[in-house]
Amino acid sequence: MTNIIETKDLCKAYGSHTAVDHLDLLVPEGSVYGFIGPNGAGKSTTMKMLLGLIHPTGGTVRLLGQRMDARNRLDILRRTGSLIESPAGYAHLTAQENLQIVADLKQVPRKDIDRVLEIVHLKEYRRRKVGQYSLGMRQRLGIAQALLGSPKLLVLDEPTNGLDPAGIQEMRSLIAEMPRTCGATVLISSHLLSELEMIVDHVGIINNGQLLFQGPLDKLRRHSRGNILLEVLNPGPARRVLGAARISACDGGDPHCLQLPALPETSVAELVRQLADQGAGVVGVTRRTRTLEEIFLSLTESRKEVV
Amino acid sequence: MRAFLAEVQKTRRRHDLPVAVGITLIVVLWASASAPSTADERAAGYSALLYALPIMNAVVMPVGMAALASRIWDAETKGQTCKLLFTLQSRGSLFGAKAALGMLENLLVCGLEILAMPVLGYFRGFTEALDTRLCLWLLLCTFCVNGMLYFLSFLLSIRLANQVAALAVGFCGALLGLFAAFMPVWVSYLVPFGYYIPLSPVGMDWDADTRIARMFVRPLCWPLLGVTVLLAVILARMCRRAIEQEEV
Amino acid sequence: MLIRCILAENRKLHGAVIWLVFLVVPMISALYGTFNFLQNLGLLTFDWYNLWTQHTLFYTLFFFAPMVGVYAAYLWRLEHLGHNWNLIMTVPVRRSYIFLAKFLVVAKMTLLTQGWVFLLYLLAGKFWAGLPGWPPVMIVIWLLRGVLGSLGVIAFELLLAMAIRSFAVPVLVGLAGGVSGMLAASRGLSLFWPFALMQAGMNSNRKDDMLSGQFFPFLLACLVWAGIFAGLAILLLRARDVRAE
Repeated sequence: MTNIIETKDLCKAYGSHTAVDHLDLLVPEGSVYGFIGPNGAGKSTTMKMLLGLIHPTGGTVRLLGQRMDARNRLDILRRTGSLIESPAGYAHLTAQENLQIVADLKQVPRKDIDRVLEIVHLKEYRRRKVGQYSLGMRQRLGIAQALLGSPKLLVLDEPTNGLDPAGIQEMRSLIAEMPRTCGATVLISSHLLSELEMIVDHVGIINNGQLLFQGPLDKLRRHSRGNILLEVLNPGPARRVLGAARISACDGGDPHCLQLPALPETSVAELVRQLADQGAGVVGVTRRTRTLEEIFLSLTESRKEVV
Repeated sequence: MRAFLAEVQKTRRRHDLPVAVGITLIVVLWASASAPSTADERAAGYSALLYALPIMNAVVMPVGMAALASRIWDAETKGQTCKLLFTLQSRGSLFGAKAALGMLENLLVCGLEILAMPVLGYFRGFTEALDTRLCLWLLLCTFCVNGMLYFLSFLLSIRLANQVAALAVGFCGALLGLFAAFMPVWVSYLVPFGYYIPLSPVGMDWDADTRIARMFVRPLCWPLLGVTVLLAVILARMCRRAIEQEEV
Repeated sequence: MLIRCILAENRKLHGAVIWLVFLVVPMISALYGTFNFLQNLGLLTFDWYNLWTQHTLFYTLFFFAPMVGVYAAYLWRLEHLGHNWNLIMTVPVRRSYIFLAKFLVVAKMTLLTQGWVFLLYLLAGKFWAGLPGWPPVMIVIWLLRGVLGSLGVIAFELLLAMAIRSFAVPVLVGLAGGVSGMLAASRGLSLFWPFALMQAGMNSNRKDDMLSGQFFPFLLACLVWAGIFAGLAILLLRARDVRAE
């Protein structure tokens, strides 16, 4: 599988402050990649560097198989759509006129305007001045601008910011369908993992400019298998079995409860069999599942914890 | 007072001071560059300067005041801070603070202009004695007309979010005011933008036959100054009302 | 591609308030000019040349450069507002074209302004002052020369409005520039100062041609100044990080 976005040691420093710190971002083709981190983690800065809006202080960017530099910039941008920070638009012009400006500059036929207006459900408001648009409508116009010319790569920076729940839902399904309907790869950022959980298949978690986790969502989910709580009648034999199996156990709050680390399913089954054989009297085995959100928080709170 | 201090805080990094000094600098450099050079003319140097400054003011100040006033309000428009401010302070105090800051900037602009006069005279070798009374008179008149135009621009900035309006009006006003000053005197009374000139302390007699210009001190036109102050007060009240009625 | 950029810039000017400035400034100038011309016939000769000086004296000295400042500041203000910088810098267009398109659009507006000035001059001369015959061809040439002379000012004002996010400053600097241009012209330094070039080209304060025999140095000066400022602006666009606020 080829990567549509590939950065190597990407850095951006403002004076002594490092906003992005040796970032190696890998976004596979056809994926919806969630780029997640708290506010100020370096998401927008990274996305702006990908698009050539700001200049990296170190490292390289490859987009769509080409190195992002002065020579390839236009060629890359022609095949890219983006929405950075809040949406842009000229307030004194209508949506139609705003899209015409972008369509002309992207060398896209005017017909395409109808298509993107249809996708973002703005067709009936096309003749209204953008100054009179609500935030949600502007956001959708921003998406429409990005979709003009059916780009191979979409870079969307917090596109659901300021939308109401219905709007968020709509935006999500719109974005989730992009790889299928438009054949596009999507890089989408958010400060909430829960918001993207349903639509992304890959995630990168960033904090303080550093990438803490990157990979398929499944892999992150696998880590969400949390500790195991073991309830036994006889703690003595239970501890012996655990010691022999080299599984560290700690107190689970009451003498009959033991807390075990996350273990694969097969090991759990084997462990239960041994405990029963040794007369530990297993009363209950509970897996304490961590939500993705908890993982995200633990990742971003202290970067020492390794998933 | 606290409102005023908050207003002063907002000027940080807005570079109001360079803009205000820049306005004066345009006038002073212009006056300096067109200052007389022959000995005869230098003997009437200050009179000529007192005659020329109001004309230069009429070109520069309407645009300058529009620039200052629109910047002071545009900060709120750009930051969309009105909805916050109106919950923190009374609207009247917001107006008062902005008006006070604006008038201070105005005073700085015309004060610097007057202070620059003796400096200019020194370097250009004027031999005429400087009449302090006339300087104060010029200061008073420039301040009042500036103030009036400041509140006009301020009003436009509040009512129309687009800064272009205040600047464009200031700029067209300057053009009109300058022209009005060279028309029959009653025309110049109709265009407040150019009041600098009918209020100027020094007049000029131009004899078309001999082609000789003679400067003379003229009495201060109190009624016109009164009208200026009245207009300024009316415009200021309209600004206050505009802020009070502003919907956020 | 440059054509498309220009089309986009043109579209941004739809329904823009600066057209009002475009209409009003030359009108005030024409009204006053004709009035003054008729008032001072004792000093002035009753001909098209003298009407020309009255029409364009103040306009070229003080009000042309700030007017270009208004045009330039308006075009960049559109990008400074919202997050439009992100938009224009991610469209697949060379950064130099973004600036050049704005430059050509302002130049076009200047050309239109000159046309409007000429129309007003013609109407005022023919129907108000009742001048005999038609204006000399030289006048049209001077107007076109004025456009050439304005190129340096246009590039400078666009550079300023791009770098400074304030609407007021370019207009104010334009005013200062106009004054400085007048002073430079009075010292015979017209060709060395961009703000004086427009005034020299327009030949606004005298009847005899200020540029007789100097057209090519004039043209060169116009292009050099415009080139310097446009070059600086494009360099800045390439080197600077985009900061939308």
